[in-house]
Parts: sequence; C-alpha cells; structure tokens
Amino acid sequence: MTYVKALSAGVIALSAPVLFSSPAAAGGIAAGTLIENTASATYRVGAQNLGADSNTVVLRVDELLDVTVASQDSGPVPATGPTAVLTFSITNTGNGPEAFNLTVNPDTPGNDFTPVVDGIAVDTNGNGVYDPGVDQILGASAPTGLLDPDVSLIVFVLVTVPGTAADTDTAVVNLLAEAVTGTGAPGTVFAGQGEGGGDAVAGATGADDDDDATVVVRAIAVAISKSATVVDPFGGSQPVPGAIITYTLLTTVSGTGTIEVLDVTDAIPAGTSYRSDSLALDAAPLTDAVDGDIGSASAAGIDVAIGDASAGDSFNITFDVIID
Amino acid sequence: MKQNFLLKILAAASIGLGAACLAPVAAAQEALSFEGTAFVEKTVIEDGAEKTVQLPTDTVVPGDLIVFNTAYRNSGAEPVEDFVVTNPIPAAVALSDASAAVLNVSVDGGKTFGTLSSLKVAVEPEGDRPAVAADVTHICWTLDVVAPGDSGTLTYKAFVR
Repeated sequence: MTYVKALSAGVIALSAPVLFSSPAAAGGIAAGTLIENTASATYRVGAQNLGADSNTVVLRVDELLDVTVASQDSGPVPATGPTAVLTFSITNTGNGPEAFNLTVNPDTPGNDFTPVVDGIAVDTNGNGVYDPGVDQILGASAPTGLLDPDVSLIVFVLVTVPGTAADTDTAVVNLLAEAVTGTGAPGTVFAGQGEGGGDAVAGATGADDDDDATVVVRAIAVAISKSATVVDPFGGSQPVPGAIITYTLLTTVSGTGTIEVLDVTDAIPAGTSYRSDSLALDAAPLTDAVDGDIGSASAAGIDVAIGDASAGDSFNITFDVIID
Repeated sequence: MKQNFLLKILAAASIGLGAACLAPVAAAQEALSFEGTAFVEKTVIEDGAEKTVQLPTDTVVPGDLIVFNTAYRNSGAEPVEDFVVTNPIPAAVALSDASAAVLNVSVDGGKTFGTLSSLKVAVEPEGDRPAVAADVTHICWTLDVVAPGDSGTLTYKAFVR
C-alpha cells in the first residue's frame, strides 16, 4: 500500500533543505522511521509559470533483528578453586530495542570436561567485573532486558569445574543470544512484531549469534595470609609511635604441580617506616640491598623472588615496620 | 519516435543547468500529471542465476536499495517547457553511487547543483573534502520541453541508512 499525504498547492520546493541532522547508527536508521519522498516541479506553459508536487511516497522502516556476541576474555580463563567467570558482550546491532534469550552450552565437542553452569549474571554496575551480590543473576531462561540499538550488555557466565577435571584440562563454553522476537534465516519476517507497529525482519546475523570462551583448570594455587604482631616501647602491644609491627606473609602453594616465577611483594603501610635489615624468609635474614639473595627491601616495600614453587610448599616472609 | 525524442532531451538536459533548479514554484496545474512510486530492489536466484527484481513495497529495512520513481505525463494540449524537477533526498536514505554518478545533485540542501565529482563538503577544521554519494541532499532533473502526450519516469536509487 502506498500512503498518500495531501500537500497544499504552491509549496516552495526548496524552502526546507534536508539536513543529515540525525545520522544513522551502525544498526541503521531507527525502526518505525517513515521515509517520505516528494518531487517538486516547475515548468512553463506558454507564458505561464506553473508548479506541481508529486504525491508523497511513504515507506516505513521495519525492525531489523541483529545481534553480536563476543567473548571479552583475552585467553583461557583459569578456574581458581572450582569456579570461573566467563565474560561476554552482547550487542544489539539491529535498529530497534530488543531483548535476547541467552543459552549457555558447556558441552562443546572436544571438551576435557563439562563445566557446571551456575548461572548468568548481568554486569549491573557496569564495571566489567563480576561482583557477587551486586551483579544481578538472570533467572532461569529469562531474557536480557531491552537493549537499545547499538547498545552492548556485559554478561558473566558463572561455571564450576567438576572435581574429576585434571590440571590443564580445558573446556569450551558457548553463549548463544537469540532475539526474543524470533530468529531465522536473514529476511525472515515476523509480521506486526517490529518496533513502531511494523514488521520485524531477521537481519544478516539471523537475529542470533554466539561465541566461545575457554576454561582451563589450574590445579595449583597460591594463597598469602598476612598477619601482624605489635611490640610497643614499653613492653606491651599497643600500636603507639615507636612501636614495632612485625608482619608475617605466610605464602602457601596448594593443589598439584609446580609454578614458576613466584614473586611476593608488599608495600610499607603509610604512617610507618621499614625497619632496616628486618626482612627474613623462613627465619633466615635477607639483606635489604638488591643483590645475590632473593630478597630486597626499601622505604617503599619488600620483594621476595621465590622462583619455582611446588604444590605443598609454604614460605614464611617476615619484616618489621616502626610506627612513625 | 516520440519516445526517442524524449530520451534525447533527457540526455542533453541532465547536467549544467544548476541555476534553473532554483526557480520558485508558482501554482499547480492539472495538465501535468506527476506520480511518485517506490520499489525495493532485490537480487534473487532464479533457476540458479542471479536476477535483479524490483518489488512494490511500503516497508524497508536498513541496507535495502529503494528505487524512487516519479512518472510525469503532459496530458495537456500545449508543450510543457523548462520542466525542472527537484527531489529532496529523505534523510533516512543515502543516494546510491550509481545514481549519484549520473544525476545533477546538491550536497548543500539544494543551494547549488552539479555533478557529484564537482562538489565539495566543508569539514571543520580540516577544510573541504570531495563529496560522496551519501552527502547528496537534493536531485534535480531539467527537461527543455515535454510535448503534449509525452511521458517519462525520473528515477533514483538510494540505500536505507
């Protein structure tokens, strides 16, 4: 059907230049936009100057359904402890607001193990990092909220590695996003379901997209437990000026296997000063200078370059500071 | 014969008459009919071969190629002379390169017209750059004369942005 818009006679053809005041976004001109085309003519019949406008042809822009999913992880994500967080972006590359159903497939062919999917969380506070208790968990089979065109949403896929997985095992986890309106071959029409009352049409992506992320099992983990004892100048344990705080960094390597280049550093707290020649590893003194031994210390902080370490190792690093 | 005569006029009058495109409109006149239509151009595969078809439509999606036609007919008894047709390009579409290459166009809201390659777009602060098809704001066709009974179609193609 062609819409015909009545135009009054005598309209000045060039009185309203069309300016590109609202350039199209990447997803294209907004769904529901009306494209109106009118030609205007001037001519002469005998000595008479005349003019005419054509009818206005109106086309409505339908909603194009498109989405892209992209893993945001720079490489395989190590599972620390039994869990891992995989980060994906979901971008509405269509031209209308759309919500997307998310499906996680942890059982990709070739996986060494099948991670358990604990849930999908939305980066509610927009900081790009999963914050338990802050970032909202999507309910089972619940879609995302409506995403405006060209808007991206960061989501976190929370997985647990089963106990049977061995060190260095990997698993590929796939996240699929599908337009809630529907998916299908490019050009598939969802009559009347588009933004603005028009149709929705599957775009080049077919209104769905997916991407992979990889979880790798790291059976070895390092934990540092820091504790402090205070000795004041009067034989007590009050943290008063002149009191000495002895910090203990108990560094333990758990799991199985070995790690390389284990380096433990700590900063000297504000309001205190490092006590010279107090750095020690497992009660054996380390000199402050950067020299032959693995330790060094300065007013800024301490550094102990342990190097290779095996599961089961533990290292007790101590140093003193004086309260200013 | 008449058809050939008309085509000749179209070819001769297609460029170089920029000033005429600015003429003001007086009043509508019934002797000249002037009818706009739109089609969407698609490439389909028929019997294994690619084929371009133009389908009537009232809806489009971004990326579609629209064919805008304006058909005119002089149904009066006297010749129509100095026939100048101006068509603002809807902001939601971008003129196709093929259309931009052969039409008399404006990139400044209809103030000046010319071939696309002769036009420039001001960019701050870098200075002017050559105009491209997507910059076109208006198209103008000029025909010296449309004889009684003659008709034709003015066409441009544009992509939905």
